[in-house]
Amino acid sequence: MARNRLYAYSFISPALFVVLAIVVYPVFFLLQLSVSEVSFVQARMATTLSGFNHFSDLISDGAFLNSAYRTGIFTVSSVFLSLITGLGVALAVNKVRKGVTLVRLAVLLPWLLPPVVSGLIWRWMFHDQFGLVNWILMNVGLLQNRQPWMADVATAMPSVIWVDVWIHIPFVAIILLAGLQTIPDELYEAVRVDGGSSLHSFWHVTLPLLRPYLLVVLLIRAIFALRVFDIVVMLAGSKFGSVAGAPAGTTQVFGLLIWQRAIEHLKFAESAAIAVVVLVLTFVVSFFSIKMLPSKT
Amino acid sequence: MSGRSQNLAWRTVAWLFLLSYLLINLIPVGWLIDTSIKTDADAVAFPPVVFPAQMTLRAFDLALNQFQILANIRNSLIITGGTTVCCALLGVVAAYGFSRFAFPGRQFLIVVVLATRMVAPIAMVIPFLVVARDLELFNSKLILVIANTALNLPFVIWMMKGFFDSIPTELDEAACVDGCSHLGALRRVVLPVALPGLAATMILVFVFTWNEFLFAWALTSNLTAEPLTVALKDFIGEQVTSWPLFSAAGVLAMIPAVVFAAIFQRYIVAGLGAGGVKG
Repeated sequence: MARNRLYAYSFISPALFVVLAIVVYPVFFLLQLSVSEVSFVQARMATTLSGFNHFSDLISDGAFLNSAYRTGIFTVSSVFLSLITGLGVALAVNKVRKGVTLVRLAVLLPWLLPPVVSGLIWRWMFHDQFGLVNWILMNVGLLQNRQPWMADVATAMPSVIWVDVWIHIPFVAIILLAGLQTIPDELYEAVRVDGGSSLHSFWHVTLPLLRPYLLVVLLIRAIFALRVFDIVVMLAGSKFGSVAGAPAGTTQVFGLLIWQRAIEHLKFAESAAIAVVVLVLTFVVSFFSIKMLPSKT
Repeated sequence: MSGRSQNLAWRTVAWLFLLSYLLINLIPVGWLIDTSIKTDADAVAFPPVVFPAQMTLRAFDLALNQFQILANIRNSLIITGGTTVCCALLGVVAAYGFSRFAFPGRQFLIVVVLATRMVAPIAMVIPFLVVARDLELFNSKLILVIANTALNLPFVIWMMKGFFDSIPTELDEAACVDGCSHLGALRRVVLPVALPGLAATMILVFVFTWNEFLFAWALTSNLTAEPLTVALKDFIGEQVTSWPLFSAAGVLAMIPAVVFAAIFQRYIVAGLGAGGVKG
């Protein structure tokens, strides 16, 4: 038995060491930074503990409050829209009998692309002068004039949400599809024999049995929406490489603010405090989602 | 009879919905490819030119040679390859340990590994940057291999533990009766059975690492280590805007993901299903 234990630890310890050293240590370092003052002495960083002043400063920090508001809008809309549409796609793909491989590949495509490429594609699609989006919408008569999607404060955030939803529908659809395929046909058969409609079987068979899958997708999507970064940089990044969240900070989600404070303004401690807020939010979201999951999964 | 016509109606709705969704999926990607083979003049024509009269590979030539994308591609390949190998070696062994042995602290350590997956990379960037500078690993491919391995390892352990759990322990016990070590049982018996799962996991690690941008941007400063994603970002700051050039670089960046997906699509779907449900 003791021999077995020794084996066990020797199997898991290399990976555990990497995870502890490279993920857990930085988190502690981050926590330390967030309660410190940082100064640079000959390009080397020195920290001194200062207490929770960076956190109390956040309460009256306009940029932080703006960021919290934008991140909230982004997360709720992106998660909600990708879940609804992803469920629709999963239900539709589940009905496909021919060409399943090809359909699945076409569904999966946006999720596999580098987000940087997706951002680049849509920056080009949303271009006010030469963009395909304006051309199509003007041709169908939905638009009168060319819309500067990413330059207008009214449409910048919706455009970013659109791209994020576009990227993540495949992930939602594929996982829900896996869930749909675990539902035995006999259940649908039973509803049909009792004279229930399709809507009835969707409401009373599909949705309840899909619940654990929906919750898992909800959890993962929410966690990833909170940390969104690359597509916003690609869509709203300025010509000068700044990540201010143009136009007028309307797309400045937490990720952009953390980056701007740390890398552009070299305010490491202030930035770390915001990063800690994101971590806490992530754990709160995870905690409640896991609480809602049935214990067997 | 009404049941059947209702069924047909649902089928039609489902098909129309799916078709319009797939169009929205494919058109932007097609447009990127289309733009990459246009001349600069055709690219900025309005109404847009869908079928350019003059097709050219000039943008690719420009991207590869003048903008040295080739060096970025090489960096991307080294970082991605290194990460995939490290993740496979460390992850598989650890997952086997978690799956096959009972030991004190097992449950706690599993939770720790899972929790690390929830740590937002954006929160790790600042500490990473500071430590990388202290260790003089800033702007090296090694630091990106280390970062990506750490980011993906929890995912690999979790996926592989799931696959190993589904293989009966009698199989490795039978192997060990014939006198082989645990590592031997893993290598000769368990791993071959779990090969499709391993393939799916590693393809996803490859794609995630190839696509990774945040750490790459934070931890590199020039062509010594900069992967392709960072080169794409830098185009936004270019003085001269050439959409065919940007598109050509974008096409090059999406090739590995698309090719992998096309070949191993079935594995990825199976793997995502297994990984998604379990966490």
